[in-house]
Amino acid sequence: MNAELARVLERVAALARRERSLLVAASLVRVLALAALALVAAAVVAWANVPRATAASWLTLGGGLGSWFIVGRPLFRAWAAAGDPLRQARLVEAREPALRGRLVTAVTHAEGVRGAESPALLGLVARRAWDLSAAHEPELVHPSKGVRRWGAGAGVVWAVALLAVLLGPGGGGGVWRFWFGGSGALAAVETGETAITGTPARVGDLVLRYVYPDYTGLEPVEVVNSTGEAHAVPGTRVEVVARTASPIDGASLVAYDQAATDATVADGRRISGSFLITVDKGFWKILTHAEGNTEESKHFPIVPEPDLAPEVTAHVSGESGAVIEWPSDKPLPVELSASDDYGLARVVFEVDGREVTPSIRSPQERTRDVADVVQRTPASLGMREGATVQLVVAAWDNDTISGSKVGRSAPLKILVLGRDGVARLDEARRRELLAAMVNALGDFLEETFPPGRSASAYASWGEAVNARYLPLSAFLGSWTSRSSPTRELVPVIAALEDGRTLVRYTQVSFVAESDAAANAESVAAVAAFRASAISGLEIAILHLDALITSAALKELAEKADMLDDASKALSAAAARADVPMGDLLLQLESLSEFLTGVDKALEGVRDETMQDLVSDRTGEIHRLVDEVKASLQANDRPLARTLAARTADRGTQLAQAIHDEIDRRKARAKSGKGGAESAIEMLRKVAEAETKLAQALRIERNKGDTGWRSAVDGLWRRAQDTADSLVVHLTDYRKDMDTTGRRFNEIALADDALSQASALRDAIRARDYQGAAGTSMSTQMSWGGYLDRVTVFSSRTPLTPSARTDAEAITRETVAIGDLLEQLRRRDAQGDPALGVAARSHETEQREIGVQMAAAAAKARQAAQEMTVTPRDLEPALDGAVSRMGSAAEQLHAGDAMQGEGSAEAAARHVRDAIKALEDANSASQQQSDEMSSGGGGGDKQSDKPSGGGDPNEQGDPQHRRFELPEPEEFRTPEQYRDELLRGMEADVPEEYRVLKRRYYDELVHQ
Amino acid sequence: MMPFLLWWALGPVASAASPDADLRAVSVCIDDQDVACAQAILTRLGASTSDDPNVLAISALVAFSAGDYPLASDTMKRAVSKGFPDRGGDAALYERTMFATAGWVEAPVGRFRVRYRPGLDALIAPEIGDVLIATDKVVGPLLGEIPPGNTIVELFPDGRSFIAASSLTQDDVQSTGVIALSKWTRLLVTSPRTLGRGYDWRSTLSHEYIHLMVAHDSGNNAPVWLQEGIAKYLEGRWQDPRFLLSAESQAWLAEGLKNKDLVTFEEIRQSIAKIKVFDPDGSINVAASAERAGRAYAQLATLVQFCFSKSDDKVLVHTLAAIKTGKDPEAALASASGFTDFPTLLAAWEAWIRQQPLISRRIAALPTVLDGGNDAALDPSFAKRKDLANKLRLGDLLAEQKRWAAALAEYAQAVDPDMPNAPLLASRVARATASAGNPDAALNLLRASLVDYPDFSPGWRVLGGILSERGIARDAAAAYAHAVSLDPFDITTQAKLRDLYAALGDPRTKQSDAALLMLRRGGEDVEREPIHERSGTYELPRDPAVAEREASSPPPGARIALMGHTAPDFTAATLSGVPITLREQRGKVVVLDFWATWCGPCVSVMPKLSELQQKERARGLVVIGLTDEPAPTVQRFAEINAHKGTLFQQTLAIEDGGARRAYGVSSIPMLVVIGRDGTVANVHIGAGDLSEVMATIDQLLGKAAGGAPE
Repeated sequence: MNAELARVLERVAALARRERSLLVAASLVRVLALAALALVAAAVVAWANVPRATAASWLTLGGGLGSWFIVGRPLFRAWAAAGDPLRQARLVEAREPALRGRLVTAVTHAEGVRGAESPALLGLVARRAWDLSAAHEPELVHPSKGVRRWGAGAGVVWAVALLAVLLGPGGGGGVWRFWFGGSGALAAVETGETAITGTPARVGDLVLRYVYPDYTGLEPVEVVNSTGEAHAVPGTRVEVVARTASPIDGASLVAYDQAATDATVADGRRISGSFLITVDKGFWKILTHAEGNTEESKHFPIVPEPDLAPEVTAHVSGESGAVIEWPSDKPLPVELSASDDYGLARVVFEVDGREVTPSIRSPQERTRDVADVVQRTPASLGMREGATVQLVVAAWDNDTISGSKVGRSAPLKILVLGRDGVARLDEARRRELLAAMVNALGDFLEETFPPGRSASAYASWGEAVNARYLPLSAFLGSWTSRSSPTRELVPVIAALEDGRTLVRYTQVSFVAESDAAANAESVAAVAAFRASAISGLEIAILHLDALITSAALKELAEKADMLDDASKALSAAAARADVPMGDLLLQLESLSEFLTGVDKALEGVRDETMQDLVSDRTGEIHRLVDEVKASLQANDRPLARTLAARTADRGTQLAQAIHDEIDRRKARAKSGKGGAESAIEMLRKVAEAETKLAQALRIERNKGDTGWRSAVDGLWRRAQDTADSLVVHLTDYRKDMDTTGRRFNEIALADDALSQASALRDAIRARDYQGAAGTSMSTQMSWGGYLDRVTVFSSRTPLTPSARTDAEAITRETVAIGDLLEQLRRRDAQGDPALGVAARSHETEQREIGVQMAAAAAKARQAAQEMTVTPRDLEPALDGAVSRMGSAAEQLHAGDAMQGEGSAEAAARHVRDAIKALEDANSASQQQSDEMSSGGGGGDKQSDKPSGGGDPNEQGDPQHRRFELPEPEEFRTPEQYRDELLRGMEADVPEEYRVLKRRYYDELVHQ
Repeated sequence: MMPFLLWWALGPVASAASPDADLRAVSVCIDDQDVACAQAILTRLGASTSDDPNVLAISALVAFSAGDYPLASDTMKRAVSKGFPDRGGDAALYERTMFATAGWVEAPVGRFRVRYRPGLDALIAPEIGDVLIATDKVVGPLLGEIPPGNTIVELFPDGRSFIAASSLTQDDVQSTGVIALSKWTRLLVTSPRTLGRGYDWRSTLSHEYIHLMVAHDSGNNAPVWLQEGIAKYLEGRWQDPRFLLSAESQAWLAEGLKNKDLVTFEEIRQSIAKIKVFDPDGSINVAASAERAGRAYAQLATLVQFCFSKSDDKVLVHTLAAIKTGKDPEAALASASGFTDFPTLLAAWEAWIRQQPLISRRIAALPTVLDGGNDAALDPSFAKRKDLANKLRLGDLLAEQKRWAAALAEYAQAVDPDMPNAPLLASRVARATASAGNPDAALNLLRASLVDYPDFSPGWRVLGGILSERGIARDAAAAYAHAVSLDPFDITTQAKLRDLYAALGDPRTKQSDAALLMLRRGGEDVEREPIHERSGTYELPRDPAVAEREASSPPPGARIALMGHTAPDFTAATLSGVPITLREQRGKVVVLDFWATWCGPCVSVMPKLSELQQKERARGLVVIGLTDEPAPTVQRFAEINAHKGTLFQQTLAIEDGGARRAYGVSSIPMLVVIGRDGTVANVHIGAGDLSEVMATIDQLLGKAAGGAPE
């Protein structure tokens, strides 16, 4: 062995020694820590008065297992590893990459070169290893940090143990006595514990009889063979009976260092007496007197059991927010419960710490539990409007010994709103939400679009779009957290969904940081989604704006009604020749107040024309009021009456004018209705005619049975069966994606494929060749896109074998449908001459319907222009209908009955879609008009819930569509998602990353 | 026109009246707008104590013309009580006018007595007199004489009172946009504050006064077309000797010339007010009608202008004088203008007008909304197109958030190239453009818009604001002054104008201060004596044809909602208290008749239904009359009408309103025909032609009888 190699080996040996010595030290420290833990456990067991034998067993078991797992096992396993020189070498290599295996090589060649290896080269390797590892002292390779940490930990545990022992009840002595003082009084005597004076008294057969205070309502309880420890509520009288081991002359019972007055001795050995448990802890003992000696028994603890304060809970029904907003005049339903171990004296409300009288409950009889729903208005509880107060339910128990104790519920923070406060608050929220939506719309309209040509530009734009929806989501979330989404929010939620779709599509379709040009189809799709998102926002904004306006008008109308009443009262007063001046003034003040109400309500109506109109008139009336007052001051009663009558007249006229204007607005809101209904009627007729035409073509098709027809029928049937099967398979596949936790972007693509497949199935069912051919292609593309995505992500979340099999089946079906449609096309080209003739005979009819459709479409478009709510998707439906009718006419002209029939069916379907769009918008317009009379959704929150009953989250009807705020990660690109996860894992894990981190690990596990 | 009205009012009893000649003399006085003359004759006749209904009626008319509404109302009531037929509803008109003008005061200005409701309108009362005096001075010599005595001018503070006192119906005013009238020797003008945007009330006032003058100078023989042509041509003369055809009139005229669609003289001769354009569905297209009427006005005004150009300033004096003597108006005008006949004149005019430079872009008539409307209702585009109004509103909301660029993007969508330029949109776009940092573009846009729509006060306000921000104080003041001239009641504009005047050291500051003080105080102190204090409530008259159509037209919603659907079930009780439901009637043909005892048309239908029930009972017909009135009321009604025999063969039942709601009944009588399968087969509203209902019933009954397949 050369010298270099020896030195290297020596260094490695030193490392092993160092590690082993640290292991020994660590073991010792762990033993110490374990001992301290045992001491803590012993003290805790003593306080808890756990049966000693049980405690001892657990402690022994715990100590044994702890010694093995904390000390023994780590020591044995590490000891052997520490002796491995190769391991030591690797540790150094890990610290010093420049070694490049030289140290390991040196160690493995401790016996020298092998075979034809070069000793010189080994020496060189050893020298380089020695040189490079020189800086890595054993202290660095095996730092003592761990031992020190254990030492510090042990020190802390010891400190805790000592504190626990010393500061616990009874101190160290108590712990000692628990473990080593015997388990009963007799045992204590027999163990020969010494009393303060002389020999300890030998007493046994302890019987304690507890007589509880009246307020507890408990019957007396007798405990025979008692340990002597007295546990009871203060006020309990404990009657003690004991026997001495030997005859005595006399005895006394001492409790709390005071001798009992009723202690007696019977039969020379039977001692009885009693003491009263107070709130303090203490001891009782027996002093026996015999032959001039006084002996003292063991000290038996007196443990007063506290009569606990009542437990109280309170919450407001249906409200869960941190601050509950409640109108001052609306009963607040407080669900409360209070329970006490012995009984409740009274239950009260406390507002900001001040008790509210009268009490909620003051039970005359002993009652331990109270559970109730108390409905009191904030005003009746003395809460001021506008204040935020803390409401607490306090319950007082019936403890007459140590005094009644109070238990309080967690405080309910209540913001007291004025009259109609909730409505006003909702109004403010509506305005805030409107502003948030307007800003989001503004961002859309002001941005540069398209954002660029590259995929990354679109991806970044998607992030920006996401950011502009976040405030809206947050606001809506905070609103809806208070209550279920109300009807008025339906368009807002729909707008949010539109935005969500846009962002998701963007993030799924464009790869961030890719400079490649964005896919043209995706760009077109995202532009369409953007247009839809903008349109959705606009509709929601207009809807909220209309609600705000109608609510403001409603308030104005209410104030106008009040003004009208006041005007009539003033008019009646002015008509009386003998009216007292005071009465007139009173009526005048009343009118003036309501006039001010009109002024204030007018501020909410954001329309300059209306404001001008009304303020002109209120200005005049204000002036007249001043003139009446002046004439009253001048004591000119006739003039005052005349002017008062005039004032009243103006007030009535103003109220009338306001109502007239509101009526006109209602009429305007409804004005589009007639046009819409007329358009709907026209469209219905067109739909009926087109459906009849399609039916006629179907009848023609079913006439006779030529080979051509049979073949075509067969192909359609096969296509239909395959399409049905495809939809079933895709639906199942999609469901499985939920259960297997597939990523959202995959799900989005699969959803799209499913939607395309459903459209394909519908087209095939309708024998709409043109539609089927189009949707077949888009289904294949959509499904292909999904598979590509799965392939991209397969390294992270590969498909399960069964999913792979299903996917292959779906792919086969999409291809099969394409093939069948191709066969149909070929068959169709061959044609059936008889059917061709029949088809041509319907061409004129189709063209006539087309003309009617054009007229109906024009009417529908005109109606849409006059409606306050824009019909969604009307245009594509009308365009689709016109276009497909045109196709149908051409196909019929060419004698293509098959395609003509399909196009007619499709056209009829488009017409029905158009009818639906108009009906929906018409209904929404009607709602707006109705709300102008009923107000904008203020008042009872329940009444604003979506109509029709049932769960507002129900799927299906757009008004009942499940409302779900987007998850934050749904807006992130996969790359960003991973980056954020990794960043989150670098530092201490912040709260928001915990869930993500868990998911990440879940995915790792799946891999 | 007055004699016609008068003699029509006097009707059949006129010929029987003993003081026939005197009454005719009164009529002549009224035609001459000489109320004092008429009053003198009536005093001589002792009309105040007369019991003659004709004397009383004409006395009432004279009192009405004199503006003594309580006397007019009382006298007319007496006339009616004495047998005067009052076919024109004058008693109601006089009373409505009395109530509408209760507490008004009168301010004499020269020969004019300006009446107004004390308050804000006092702000413009003095100017009314100024305008009319100027018209007297400038226009009077062009027409002949000015009317004798005093002329009453009434300034109505709201549309409601204007309609009440005008003899027009609500429907007339809504469809024609009338805001001023000259009638009964009085001028009736609405205050500019009754329109949200104000209007050129001075020229309108002058226009109406010219009507009075023409009527007087022509002995009330001038036809309406001539009156309108003269009034339109001369309405601005009080302040400007030039005749400037408004941009909108030019545009309409140019369009007519271009499309060879001038309004024919036959149409004009008949009545400008009756020029109507109808939509394909038969309804009146108000905007198109207004534009066509506007074209007719433009044609007439330029015709008068042409006549002046071909003659001298006395052309109308000669024409009216000739007309007064009974000469044909058309011939009189042609002759006075130096033409041989009227067709020649018209041909020459047309040749001339085709050579005039006219604005040829599309300009719409500004909508007239009395007592209300919102911002969008001020604009011809947005008043009709709610989809565009929605875009405008979105732009406004964005502008409120100072998102100027976004607001402009939204405003851009509020444009329909097929619609005329929208003045409201122009002002909004200008405001946003200026706020976005491009005031020059904003000013150009706005100025161009105001050339087309000079009466659009919001545009002038915005113009004033932008000019003011740019520090062009003098122009800003001019813009604000224009806005104030149209709408003097806008306190914000008045305040801005006042500040600009003060900054410029303009002497009009004082005048502005006074106006502002009055606006802030809500009007002037009441110092004048009211003309009368008799107040009360009144209903506005409706156009009988329109009202009838509204009452009888079925609400399309109910019809569409019910037809072809399963009829909703209901529970009612017969007069004897027996419960009755629709479900029990399954298998029969059921006719539900929603009616009420107070509803005349309902009662008129009942005998037919009763007869039908009696006749078809055997074939399975059940007619159920449903009402929600109290049972005793219906019982009493049935007892009173029991003698009519066949009236109540049908089942009469009382329901609690649930059935009405379920069937969407908004108008009665409403008949719902339900087939044997419970499906609604027909719905008929009103008491009109029931043949369709009967046919449906017959068909439904026939089906069962014949067992015809479905």
